[in-house]
Amino acid sequence: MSILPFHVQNLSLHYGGQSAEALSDINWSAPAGQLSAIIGPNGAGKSTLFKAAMGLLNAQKGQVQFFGENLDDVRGQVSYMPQRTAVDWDFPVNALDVATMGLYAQIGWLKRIKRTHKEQAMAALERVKMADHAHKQIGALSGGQQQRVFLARALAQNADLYLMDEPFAGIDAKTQDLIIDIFHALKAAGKTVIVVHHDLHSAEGIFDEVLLLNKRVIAHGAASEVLSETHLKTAYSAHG
Amino acid sequence: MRFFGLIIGILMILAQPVQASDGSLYIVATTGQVADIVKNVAKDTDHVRIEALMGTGVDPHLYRPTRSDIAKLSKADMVFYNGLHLEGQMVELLEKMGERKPVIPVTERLSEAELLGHDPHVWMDVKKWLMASDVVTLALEDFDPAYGSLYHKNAQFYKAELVALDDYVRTQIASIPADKRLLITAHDAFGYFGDAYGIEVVGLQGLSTESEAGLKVIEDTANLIASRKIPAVFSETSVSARNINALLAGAKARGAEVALGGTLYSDSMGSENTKEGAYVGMMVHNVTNIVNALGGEVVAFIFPPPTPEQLAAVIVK
Amino acid sequence: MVSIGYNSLLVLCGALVLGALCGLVGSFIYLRKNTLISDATSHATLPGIGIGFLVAFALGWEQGRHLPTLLAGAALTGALAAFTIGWMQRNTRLNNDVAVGAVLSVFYGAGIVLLSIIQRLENASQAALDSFLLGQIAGISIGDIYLILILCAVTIICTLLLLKELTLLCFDEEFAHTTGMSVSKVDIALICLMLGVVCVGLRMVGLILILALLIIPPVTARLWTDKLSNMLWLSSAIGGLCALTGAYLSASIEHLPAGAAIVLCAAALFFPSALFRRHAA
Repeated sequence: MSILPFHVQNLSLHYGGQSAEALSDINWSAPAGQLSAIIGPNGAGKSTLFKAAMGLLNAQKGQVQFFGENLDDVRGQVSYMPQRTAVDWDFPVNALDVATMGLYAQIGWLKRIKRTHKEQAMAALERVKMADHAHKQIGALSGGQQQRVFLARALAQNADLYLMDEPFAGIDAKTQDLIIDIFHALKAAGKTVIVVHHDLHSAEGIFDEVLLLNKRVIAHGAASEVLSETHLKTAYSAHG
Repeated sequence: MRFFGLIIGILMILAQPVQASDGSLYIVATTGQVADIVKNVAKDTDHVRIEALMGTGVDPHLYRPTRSDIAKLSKADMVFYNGLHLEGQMVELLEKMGERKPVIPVTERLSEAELLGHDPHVWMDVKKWLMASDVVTLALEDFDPAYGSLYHKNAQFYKAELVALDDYVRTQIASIPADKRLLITAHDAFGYFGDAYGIEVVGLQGLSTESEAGLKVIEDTANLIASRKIPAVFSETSVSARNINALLAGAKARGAEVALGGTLYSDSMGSENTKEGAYVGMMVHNVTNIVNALGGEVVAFIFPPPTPEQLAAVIVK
Repeated sequence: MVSIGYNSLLVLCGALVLGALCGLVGSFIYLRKNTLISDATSHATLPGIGIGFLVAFALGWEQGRHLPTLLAGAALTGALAAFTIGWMQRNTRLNNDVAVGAVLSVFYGAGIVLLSIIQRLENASQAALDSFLLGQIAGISIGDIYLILILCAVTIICTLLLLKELTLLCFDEEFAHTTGMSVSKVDIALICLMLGVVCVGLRMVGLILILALLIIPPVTARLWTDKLSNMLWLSSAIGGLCALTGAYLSASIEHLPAGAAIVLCAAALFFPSALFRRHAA
């Protein structure tokens, strides 16, 4: 029996103080070693699903298992890249510092950052072609460059599962190509990548598997099947 | 005839200043020292009820009146206070009260020449406090002439005691070796004391405890103690001892042999019903501590009851 | 000018170390965007001082002015305020400003009421309890210096151990959660460091001023550097320098309170920095 890297069971969630459910009875499993996309209209609960899985939000029902375990037991194997907007660009850190943050969990509570860690982070920056900008403060970078730095942060820890929230949002074409290349490299290395993707049109070309979501699972499966007209209508209609 | 008597009766009632319904007098004083004068002038009778707003250990420079204080002031028939801005937070309130009843600063008769600038601590010079007692006596006689002779008699007794106290303090301070006659305290409360009784005075904080003690003052005073070999400094009951302690540490670091000579009553007196809770007892306490710590010869203050001739010689004006 | 006597030496040492600590801890508070919480916390120490005084007075300790009790009270209500604000931020829909404002006013008001009650107590050594408002730096004792040095050691050790945790917490709290870091524990550690600095500084520079010393050095330092580690050094240096200079000026000039002098020095460094570095990247 293969170990499922990302397995959602009966997950339901509503935000505190609201009666309407943000996520309703989600059941889904990402195929191991594949590139999966989570797609849906605004407010569909895509980011919410990731946040619930990562423990940032509390689900009232259901659970998410990583490689057959709870998140706390396998955190080293899971890498999370949040949406880029929620960051303070004025913060006095440079690209290398941010990439190194991906290793903090590995380094351990109360321990110091060593040179080997910095080298690891630098390697991650090289993979996203940001090594030359390693010492630039993040506010001085362009949108695409910033996204790459955060990708480096996610790559630095060499995890087995990658959850990325809208990595393609607001970036230039060069960065987009770079990210797709990295996806392929990860897949070739046997890693699992799940991406909340904003643009359903490009999804078919990039991803193997698609989960169509609008508070509940509309459809999931191979990209071409899921992205059929009927399903999209259901997902993107007013009621959802 | 009866009608005439009635008219006279009504006129007499109207001419009386308004008093409490049972005919007694309710007097409020701000500090304990002021209250002490009133208590002494109005003693031996249940006719007068006296209350001080500020109790033991209270700092009058910083004291903010509460609602119950305002109520007391409103009910009072007369109010006596120190004046010269000692009750710094109460100036406006007292002014307002003064619109409806006698509100009298006991220092009002002191001329500018008799004052040391803006220093309000006049009770430290017994002779000036004698003048303050005259203010109280005359005000009481004026307001409540029915008991005028009692007030007058009490005042003579009180003044006789204060005259004896004045002599006592002077001779006691004189017994301190000349080069050690330096009184160092927490704030400038003893200016009049020093001026009247021939002793140099240094206070770490200024006239009001609202101001912070400067580091320079502490350093300079520590130098002074070391160079003149002063054996003692004094803390005060109503002021934090922090600066004095810092001064002691600083002086000792310069090799001086100095210690805390005692705690003096500066802005407030001791607890009621103790010796130090009365003006005379308070001054005696201070003097005894000062003289003892600075190397003078301490003797007790004895005030034998004055003879009628001695009393008659005391003039209240 | 003034010769450096014993008292001045204590004041300068105390001011230097305290200022540096404020710069260091203040940097993280500034980066965490929690300066308002420090404002509320420092004001909230007032009722704690009052309660501490009443407790000590009731137990007959130095007629109320028992310093460890006063500081313990200050730390307690300060902590209570900080955690109340945190709770309000997490569990209510109130705006941050509103939460802070509400807590600050309630606690501070309670403190004023307590002070006025204490004022009327007889035989209590309540004189100049309100020196905690503006501080009394001139009267520093060797005991105060020991306390500052202990605080200094604790703060530096904590900062070194938790440097990356604090950095991550201030930069990206959400990501910090996902790395398995106990965000609340690190937050609490930071608040405790802040409390420590506030309580120790309260006596010397007063609860109204301590906030300025926590805010101005980091803000000034940020204008001059983009690197976190440099910012920490610079902020500590600025804090120490301003405190030292202010204390020295207070020592030389009669009637110049140390607290005010320190704030003016800090402002003197800040405004030109803001002007010249306006267009810094």
